[in-house]
Amino acid sequence: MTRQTLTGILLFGLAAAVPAFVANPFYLHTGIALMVNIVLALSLNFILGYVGEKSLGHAAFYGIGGYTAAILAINYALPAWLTLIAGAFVSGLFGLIVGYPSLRLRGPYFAIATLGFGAILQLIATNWVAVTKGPMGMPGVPPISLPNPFGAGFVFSTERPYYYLALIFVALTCWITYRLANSRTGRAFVAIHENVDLAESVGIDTFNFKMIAFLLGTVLAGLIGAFNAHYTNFISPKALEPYLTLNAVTMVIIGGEGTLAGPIVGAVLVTFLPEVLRVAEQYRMVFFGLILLISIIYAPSGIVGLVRNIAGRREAARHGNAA
Amino acid sequence: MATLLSTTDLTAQFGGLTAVDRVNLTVEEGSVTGLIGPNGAGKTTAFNMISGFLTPTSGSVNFAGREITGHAPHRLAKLGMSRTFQHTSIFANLTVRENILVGMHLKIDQPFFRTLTGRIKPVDEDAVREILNLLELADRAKIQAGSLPYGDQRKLEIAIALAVGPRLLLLDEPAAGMNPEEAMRLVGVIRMIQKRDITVLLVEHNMRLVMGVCDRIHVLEHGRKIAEGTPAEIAANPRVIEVYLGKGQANA
Repeated sequence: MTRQTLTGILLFGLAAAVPAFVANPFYLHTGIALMVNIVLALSLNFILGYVGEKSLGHAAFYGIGGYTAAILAINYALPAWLTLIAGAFVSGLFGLIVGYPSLRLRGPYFAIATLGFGAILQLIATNWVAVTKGPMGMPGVPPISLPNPFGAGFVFSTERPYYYLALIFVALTCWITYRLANSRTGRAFVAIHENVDLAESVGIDTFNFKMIAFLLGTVLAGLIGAFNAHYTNFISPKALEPYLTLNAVTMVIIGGEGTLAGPIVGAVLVTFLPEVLRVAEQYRMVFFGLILLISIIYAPSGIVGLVRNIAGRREAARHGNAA
Repeated sequence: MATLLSTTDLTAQFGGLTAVDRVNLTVEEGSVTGLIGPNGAGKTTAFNMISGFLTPTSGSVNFAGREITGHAPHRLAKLGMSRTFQHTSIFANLTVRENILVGMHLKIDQPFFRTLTGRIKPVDEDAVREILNLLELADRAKIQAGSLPYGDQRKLEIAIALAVGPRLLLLDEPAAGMNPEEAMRLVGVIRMIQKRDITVLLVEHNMRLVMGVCDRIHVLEHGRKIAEGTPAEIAANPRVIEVYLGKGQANA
């Protein structure tokens, strides 16, 4: 077992033990919000971090998942396991529609297409009142409940079951990222990021792998969006705001793009910094922008890259002394 | 010998400029064939059309008995064609070994979904080592490719292209920026590649390299083919000498 796997298992064990010691629902709620952000950051990381295609409408896919789940649960009373899957599926479907034409092209077209898609979706959610109830949003999204063929289902009425379900989604996303990073598919992602012409010339169907990364990201964003709509019992056009996309991009960049640990570190920072900065709420976005800028200039490979560099230099220094 | 690659009336026009004008090339299986010509002769443009990076305005390319005109580069790699680039082209942030693994993309049987569900098959370490040894990069395997010295980076490019397992290897100015000693080493590398039944087509400026390693040479000037033959024939061709040394020199 590698040190990386061991650290991962240890962290998950710790996270799983938290509800046993923490009774305060506010802390559990913060934990769930953090895990939603982690999945969102890791889902964006596939296309933005590994493949390096600038996806600037990630909130739209999160929102599609939320609205799909809300509409199906409220209007059609579908069970939560189905609405979660539907949220992921519909989001992936839109990923296919947006990615298929724009990922074929070189240049900024994908960034423009995703940016535009995000803006259009927000307009639709705000103005298509008959379906989305408009800017007021849709309250009353039922809580998640597990079906039980022998009696009454188990309804998620406290934070605790949501906490564990969120942890399962985080584990799933981490596991997919971990498996990909060490596989042919993950290497193809990185190769496209590094040198797309060379990647093509060694036989990598670059369009195909860009689509895989984008679909993976949109499906997972849709899933966690659907989860959050059930958890908060509410969805509104706020779930599609560009600010949320910017948040996700910030998490990936300042944490370290194209790594497993990076977006997680970024998500922790972005989730907790606003709490720390509560005194200056209005200036939050200014502060985030500043952090993003500093990170891009001084630590382009993020906090994880910075730590790795320092560790690498120490290692080199130690070898130098030994020689 | 059978013909592995041929072009028929290959033409590339950019607006009013004809960069490559009805060029017919043939590359025999097992040969090392050179494509030479002064700057701006259209060598790299021809190369890009053959390797699928540029769709020809007209004309066709045939490879291993099938027409491949306008096929995407990744499809050509599957058919057994790989290439290097004029400007050093490697995966700079990956290690040397990882660069080779990316080159072996088509040989590693690991579809996306099996990556998630099944056991990840270990890669063929022997094949990796063999390629690293061939290009004398074995002791550099764990080094980040971008921090290699220039000469090693050029070797790594060839190693990546070889990792694809090609029948035809296209080398775009492999000796550019190399010192004479490194260039002569390259002759040995190309000979070794030829011995492995890999056909080579190379674009090159270094005349000593071209004359020393090629079985056959095609000469382009202003997008047109002006000569074809063995190195000895090309060296004696007055038209070629004129192009390279200027008018009047041919008789001197």
